[in-house]
Parts: sequence; structure tokens; C-alpha cells
Amino acid sequence: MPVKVLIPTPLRPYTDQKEAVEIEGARIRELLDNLTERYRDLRKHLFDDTGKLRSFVNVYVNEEDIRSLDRFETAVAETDVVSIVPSIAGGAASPAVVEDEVGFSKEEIQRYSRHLIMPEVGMEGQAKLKKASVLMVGAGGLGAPLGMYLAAAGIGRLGIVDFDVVDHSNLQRQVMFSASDVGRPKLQAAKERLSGINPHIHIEGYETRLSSENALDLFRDYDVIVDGTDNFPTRYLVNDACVLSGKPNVYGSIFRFEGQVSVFDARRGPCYRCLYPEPPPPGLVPSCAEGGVLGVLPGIVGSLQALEVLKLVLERGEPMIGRLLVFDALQMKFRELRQRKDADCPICGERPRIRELIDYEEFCGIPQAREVERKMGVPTITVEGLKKLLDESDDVFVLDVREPHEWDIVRLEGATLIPLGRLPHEVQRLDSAKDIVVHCRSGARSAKATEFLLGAGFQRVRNLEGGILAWADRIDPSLPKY
Amino acid sequence: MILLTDEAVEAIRLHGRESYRDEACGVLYGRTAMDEKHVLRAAPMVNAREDERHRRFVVTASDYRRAEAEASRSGLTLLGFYHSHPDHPAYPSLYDLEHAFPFFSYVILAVESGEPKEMRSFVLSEDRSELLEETLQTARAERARPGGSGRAEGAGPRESGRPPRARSEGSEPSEERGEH
Repeated sequence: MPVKVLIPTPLRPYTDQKEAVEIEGARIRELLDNLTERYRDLRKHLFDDTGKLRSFVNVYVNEEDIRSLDRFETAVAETDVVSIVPSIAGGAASPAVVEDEVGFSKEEIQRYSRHLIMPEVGMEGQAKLKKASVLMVGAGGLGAPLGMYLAAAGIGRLGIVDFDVVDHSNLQRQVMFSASDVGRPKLQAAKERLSGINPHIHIEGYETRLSSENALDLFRDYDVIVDGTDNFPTRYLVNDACVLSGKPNVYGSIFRFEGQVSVFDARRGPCYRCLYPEPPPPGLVPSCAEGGVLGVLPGIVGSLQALEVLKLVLERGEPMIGRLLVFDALQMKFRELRQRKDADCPICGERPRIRELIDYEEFCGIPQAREVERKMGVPTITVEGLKKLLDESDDVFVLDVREPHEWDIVRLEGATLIPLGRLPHEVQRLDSAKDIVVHCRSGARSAKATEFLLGAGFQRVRNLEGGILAWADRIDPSLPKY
Repeated sequence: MILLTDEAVEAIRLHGRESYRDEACGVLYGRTAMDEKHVLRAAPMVNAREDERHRRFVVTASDYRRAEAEASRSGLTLLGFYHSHPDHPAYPSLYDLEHAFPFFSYVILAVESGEPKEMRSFVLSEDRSELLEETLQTARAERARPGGSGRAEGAGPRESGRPPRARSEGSEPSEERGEH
């Protein structure tokens, strides 16, 4: 029982220029086998080396694609018409490579030679790196070694999301930036630095805050996402967007003398939420800006992240999936904690409750905390108000509640230091008849101190808004900021 | 060799310019004579890609079947397809190679900053390993025969048998090294 098979123009040279041929077969597989038996040269154009139908060859039974029917098992009858339909597609090479997607110039061969001579990487691995796209969220302490090593190693397309400006206080650890970059957008400085390290790669910058609105769109074009953020809302956002879009999240975080590294890939292991279902209350875990960080630490943690990215792209070694590495710089100890996927995880568990991105500020309690702060409402004074007061009166007591090491950095003339923790013990040093103005670095600790003093019966006490940083900004620019 | 009428060349260049930043694609109808293809008409097709349209195009199966039907109806042959490379040279990518069919000519138009530039044509080698450049000439419609001398700007005759730019992975890597 022969079936009519329509041959497309480009394959007619293999069917003696026939537009249609009659072939025996009850199912598509049998039909195609018989067809390529009769016209042997047709086979390599229809099937690949493993015998699979080439992805750009479509087979139709009448008006239906066999992929939407029973594929090779689709039954055919004498009245059916089978058509072989080429899918016509093409396009330019990716922006990183002009002519040949896996080709390397002479300079590139030289540049990557230490990779190429290792059989574990070789030309094949280097081509994988060149074809890979990696998105870095944040160009700060972690982003510096990440960006520089990934660029140097030849990751073909590197995306960076950051909207910050280089500040003097960044230079102690963010080695991607020079002193002359202070005041420039980080993105601009980073692009220059990274393309200086490797002009053969393509760098894309996104000068925006990663948000629930843009995260999935930004992630779509990248193979691997690297989390170099410094706050909990963004960390949960990166995690959730990775889970929802099925991408690996190379995670790193740093605080003071400690760092953490892991790879979260919900398809193969736990996600960040499996480890930390809920964020800590705001203020409990200070950021680097509040708690400080040892200069070299982000260099180590960011480099470990870069290493994990290369392993994922090269598909070599054991990725840190299901393992959390905790590094203690003071003890010089690496500890490894095993992590399991949580079956009840709200986003990657068996019954996910989160199916789209949420409001992460809200989730992390940030607006709520601001509201509490606002309600606390201790009396305040602006830096301009304090300046006027000091100019007009000698009877003002300026109380500094910071720590001694901060006092060593910068202090207000005539101020008295009583660290917040010592205040209850030394409260007798204060004179309730005087005007008391309490300050700290930015105003948070001094608000607590003001509240304490009000409770202790002092009435003429006010909190300095914005702390010594505001004083340095608006009254005495000669003071250093930290 | 592939010979295009001035009208066909103009149609391709116009389409490439109008679609700029996105890839334009279309079909080439004409006749074959000996080893030559004579393109009499270039007709735009819809780029059905929803993403990455600046560097990818795809023609749906139903559009392809319509093109075959149109060729039969008008007594012409489907000779191949053209597409534009916005801000990229007129050489096939590996992606083009992977999706190439035998016999068809793949005409590529480079469009730089919105301006149509050079045009080249390629055919798949018998062993599917590379896209070989073929000589591309243009001629007025009434002189659409071998030896036509009309030439459009940037689409002059090319030596055939230039070194192929797109190869399958793994084919003679040592030679690739020397080439770039």
C-alpha cells in the first residue's frame, strides 16, 4: 500500500528530481526507512549520526506535524500525503564572535594556552567558555575578583547588573576599581577594566536595580547567574528568579571575617530558601557597610565563586550543589556543611506556593522596620541646628555613643565618648540641666541612646539626624567619612 | 554560480534596510540552467522568531510549504533563501551551517548601521561540513542569462572556492588555528 511522499526542492537532487514519490509503509518510521533505502543519499540530510531526525527537518502527515502526532509511530494510509518540510533558519554569529562561533584567533590561542594544554579544558572546554554567558548581580567586593577572573578565563558574554557609583570606601576591597574611578558609575569603570583585561569577550552592562519586574527578563539570556549582592531582599530575589527560570545560582556572601559559598540549582539540589526559608529580622545581620569586612575576604570568596562558574560551564569536577562552604579567615578554616533539598520548600519543594516573583523588601520586613523606626520618634536635631546651637551657647553637651575604634577615625570637637553599651553604667556623667545632643555614625545607635536617656529622666536630649556622616557632608567637609 | 536580477537585489537590500536591527529573510524563486541558478524574484518572508530577532531568523513550516506551492504555481523553482546579518559580515555562522540544506543557495546581506552592504551567497558542501561561497552576479531582468554584466553596488562577482568560514566542530582543528 504505497503512500505519496512530497519531496522539497533541496532534496530532489537525491530523488531523481521527483517532486513526489510513492513509498510503502504503514508507519512513518517504516516509510522513512524505505524512502532512504531507495534514495540512500537522502539519509544524511534527514537524520543525524545518531539516527535522530534532524531538528530542522519536519515531517507532516497531511496538515499535521508528526511531532504533534505519534512521531515515528504515526500511522499512515494510502489516502494520506506525507510531506518533508525543511525548517529554514539561520542568523549571525553571537556578538562576541564575528565569524565563527567556536573559532579562536591567534591571540586568543596564545592567551588561553594554559587552558588549552590541559586535556580537561582543551579547545573543546575553551569553546564552551567562549559560548557561555554569565550574569553577575552586583559589581562590588565579590564582583571584583569574579569579573576579572571570568573575563580573563574567556567567558564569552559577561553581563553585569549594578547601579552604584564608586566610593572611596570601596577601594579597600573592590580591586576592580582605581582611585581615579571614585565618583564614576561602577558599571562604566568595570566595563573598561574588564575589556582591558580581555578584549575578546563581550560585556553587557545593566545600570538598574535588580527587581521583581526585570529579573526574569535579565536572566533569560544567561546560562549561569552569580550572586554578588550584599542584602537579603536581592539575595531572595536572585534565588527565586533562578529557581523559576531553571538556572544555576552561584552564591557567595561575606561578613567581617567570614564567607560562604554554594551553588544553588533547584533542578539538581537545594535552593537558598531550602537553607534559609525566612530572612533574619532587619538589622540583626549587619551589611558590610554597617559591620565591616576584612579587605581580602571578598577576594577569596569571589574567586571561589568564579571557580564554581568555570566548573559549571566546563562540566568538570564536583559543583558545590548541596554543599555550603563556610570560610573563617581568623581561624583559616574551611568547613563544609551538607545541605538537603527541602521537600516543603515554598519555591522548589513538592508543592511550591511561590509561582512568581514577590515583593522582596516586604518579605524581608524592610518597610515594616522603617515604620517602627518612624514611630519610635525620639526628638531630633539636624546638623545645621546643632551647629547653630554650638555657635550660640557653651552649654551644649555632645555625646558620642560610638565605639572607641570609630572615635579614633573621626570625632566632633568637644564631644564626649560613651559607647552605647557603657551608657547605663556611666549615665551619672551627664548633666540633666544641659542641652544634650547624642550622635553616632549615621543616627541609629544614637536614637536608641536618646530613647534610653529620655526613659532615665533626661528631658533636654535630642538625637543628631544622620550622625557624624551628615556633619561631614553638610557642615565640615574636611572630616573623613567611613 | 548564482545570478540575481537587479530587481531581486534591490528587493533584498530594501528588506534588509527596513528590517534593520532585526534579521530579514525571504525566498528566492527562479530557474536552473546547467550548474547555474537564475533568481528572477526575491520575496520577503516573515521572520517568525520571537526572541533574538537581531541575530536569528526562522521561517515556519507552513510558510515554507506556501513558498513551494507558489513556486510550482508560477512554474519556477525554489532556489534558496536570503537573510540579512545586521552589523555582521556577510559570512555564514555555524548556526547557518547547522541549518543548511543541500542545493539551496543561502544569500547573506550585511547591513551595517542600517545600510545594506556586501552580499554573498553560499551552498552546502556535499558532506554537509561547510558552506562554500559561490559566485554571485547581478543582471537586468531581460538579460538574466549567463554572462550578464550588470552589477549592483557591493554585490560584485566573487571568486568561488574561498576558504570556508563556517565549519563543523571537530573538522581539522589544526587548520582552523592557522586560518585565523
